[in-house]
Amino acid sequence: MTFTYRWGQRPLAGFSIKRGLGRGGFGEVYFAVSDGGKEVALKLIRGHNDTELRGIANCLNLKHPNLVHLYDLRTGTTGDHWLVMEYIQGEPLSTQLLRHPKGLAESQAREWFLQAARAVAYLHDHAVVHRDIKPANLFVEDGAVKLGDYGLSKSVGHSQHMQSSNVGTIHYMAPEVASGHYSKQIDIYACGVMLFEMLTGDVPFKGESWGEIAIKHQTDLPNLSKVPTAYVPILERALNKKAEKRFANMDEMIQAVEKFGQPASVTPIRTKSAPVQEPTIVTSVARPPIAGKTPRVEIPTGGRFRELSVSLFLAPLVAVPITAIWAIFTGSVNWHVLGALFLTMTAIAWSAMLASKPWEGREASRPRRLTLAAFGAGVGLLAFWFDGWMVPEVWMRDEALPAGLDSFWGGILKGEQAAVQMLTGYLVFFTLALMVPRWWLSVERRRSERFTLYPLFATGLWALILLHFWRDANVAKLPDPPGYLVLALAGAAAIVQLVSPWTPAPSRVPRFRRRLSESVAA
Amino acid sequence: MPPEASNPESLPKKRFYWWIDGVGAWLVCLNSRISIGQATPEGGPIDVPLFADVSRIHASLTRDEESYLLETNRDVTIQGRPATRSVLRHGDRLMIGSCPMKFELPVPGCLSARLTPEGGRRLPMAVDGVLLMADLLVLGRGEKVHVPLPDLEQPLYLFRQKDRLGIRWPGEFRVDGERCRDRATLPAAGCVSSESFTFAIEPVGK
Repeated sequence: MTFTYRWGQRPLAGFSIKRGLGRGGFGEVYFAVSDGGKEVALKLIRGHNDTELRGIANCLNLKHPNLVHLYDLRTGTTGDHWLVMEYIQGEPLSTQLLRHPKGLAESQAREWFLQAARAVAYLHDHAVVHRDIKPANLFVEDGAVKLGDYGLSKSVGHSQHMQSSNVGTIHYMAPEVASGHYSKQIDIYACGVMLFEMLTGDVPFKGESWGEIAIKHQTDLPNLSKVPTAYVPILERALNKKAEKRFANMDEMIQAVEKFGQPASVTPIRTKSAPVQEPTIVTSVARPPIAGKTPRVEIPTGGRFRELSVSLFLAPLVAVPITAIWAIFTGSVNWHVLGALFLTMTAIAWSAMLASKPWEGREASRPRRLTLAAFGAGVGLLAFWFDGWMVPEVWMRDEALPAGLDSFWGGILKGEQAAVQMLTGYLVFFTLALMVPRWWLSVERRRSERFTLYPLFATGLWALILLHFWRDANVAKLPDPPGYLVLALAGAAAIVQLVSPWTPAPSRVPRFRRRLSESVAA
Repeated sequence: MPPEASNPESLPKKRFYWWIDGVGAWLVCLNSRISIGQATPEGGPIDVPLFADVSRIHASLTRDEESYLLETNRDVTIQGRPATRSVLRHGDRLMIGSCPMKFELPVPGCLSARLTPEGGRRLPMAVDGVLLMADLLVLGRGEKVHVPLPDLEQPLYLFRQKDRLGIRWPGEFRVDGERCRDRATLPAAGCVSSESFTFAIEPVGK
């Protein structure tokens, strides 16, 4: 990095330059010490007209704890203009973010964002639009964040952005900037981009060229799957393409972050999900089709309970035709088999919904799987009973069992070993059958499609695999597990999707826009 | 330009500021024994003056052939344990009065140490920390350097040359405007610049 001035020079009377600090879009910045010993940052402002200088002068007396103080605007010995500013001994937020490629800790991001946002709110309150909010303009000193470069950017127009190769700025630029609109809303959008970046470590829209990113700002939806759930509605609003649909002012956004951002315990499970503009390629069998690219919404608990009740009520109604199809397919009306199929299918569907609904809209897979496993064990016990198995006589106090039961029901297991083996088979089968497939994706309100065949195939295949191993493990020459269990699982996967409420995701980027963006990128 | 800069023959002072453009600034101490104490308006004999709740002369650090010895009869802890006389190791966290500091020997086999105040401004000038220079200071890429400069492909060395300081860097650079190559003697005060780096040396105290 080379600078015009170097150590010991005094291009501005009263100040001795010590070293160059950096170079922004608006000129070189130096660390200098005044003759009296005050440490300052000096910004050399070149190529700005009088109007722009007046814009800077307009900001000289703004005071806020989260703003870099401006001390003076002076003319140097060679006629250049110098902005004398507070020297911040600390790093820009952009450097901090480089060290945290997966984003800052939620509480840290929240605290720093709020400090920066308060500075922006103060500027807006004093009729100043920053226009260039980005992590490189925020400085962290002793845990406090200070916003700099305000006033300077006030007059930066579209053409200047176009010419500058400084791609850092375009990542934070609201869609309407392209059409020359510079309201406070562009700062709110930039704050949204910055909050997104602080939480995830990445900007929402990336690309090879200025044009590509600009078009993504216009058309693409941000991928909010990596953002902690509490922030999703905030970012959905702040990053809205339409300025009028964003927060009305910075104070509203600050309040939203203060209010919704409170539970610091909600952290996302960082998944490597594909960016919005790329189709997700489903590679593994056990992976249902929803790849977390649709924004999630919080549904109030009361509403969730109502939804769940309706779904639970509808489930057996849907199970009836599926059972009927099986009866027609097999051509036999064995009421014991049909009854067991119907009841098992309903029990699985109920379990999947009961275990998934409490966590709807969250990225918590471990509690879901544990609950599903517990429900699975319960269904296993029920299925054991539905199939008519009786525990051996040694466990039964009542020895007077009707002999005829053997013919209709599974039968009475003779001996303790057989009973343990059969019961274990049911328990293991259903525990794994409920625990492994991601049932909650079919319950999720914001799933990408209301009904797909994929979960049916996935659960069916999984049931086949489990049955295969079960039969292999059948060393005691007991009757094999019934084949209709495969249908019970696949049927439940269908039921769950059909009875769970669904909200279509917001419309994706139209194809012609994508082509447009690709052509610009090329 | 200060008068010292025009005389490259003048000897380096026992302490100087190392101003590195775009990177940072360091207070470099050349003496093998340095004192740590309160920053006072008069300056005084303290090598590492601190804006902290410390005594006038709070502790001293002595470099011998292989290590640094910290001696004090005031309130100092090393890694949380009170200390009066202790050999410092790489990565030690010191608490000198109210001032937390980190002691590092970043370059293996080199006895030059780095002393960085943590959590806020402590030194009288806005520098990143203090470098206790033994025979060599390394500036370059990676972790095992005294001053990291990620853009510098080949490391730059400041070294002691009898009673002067020298610079070694494979390439062309200018010392106070004079063209040099590969190695040169540093003035007591002045600028060294190339396409890859620019730094200045400014003696502390006249």
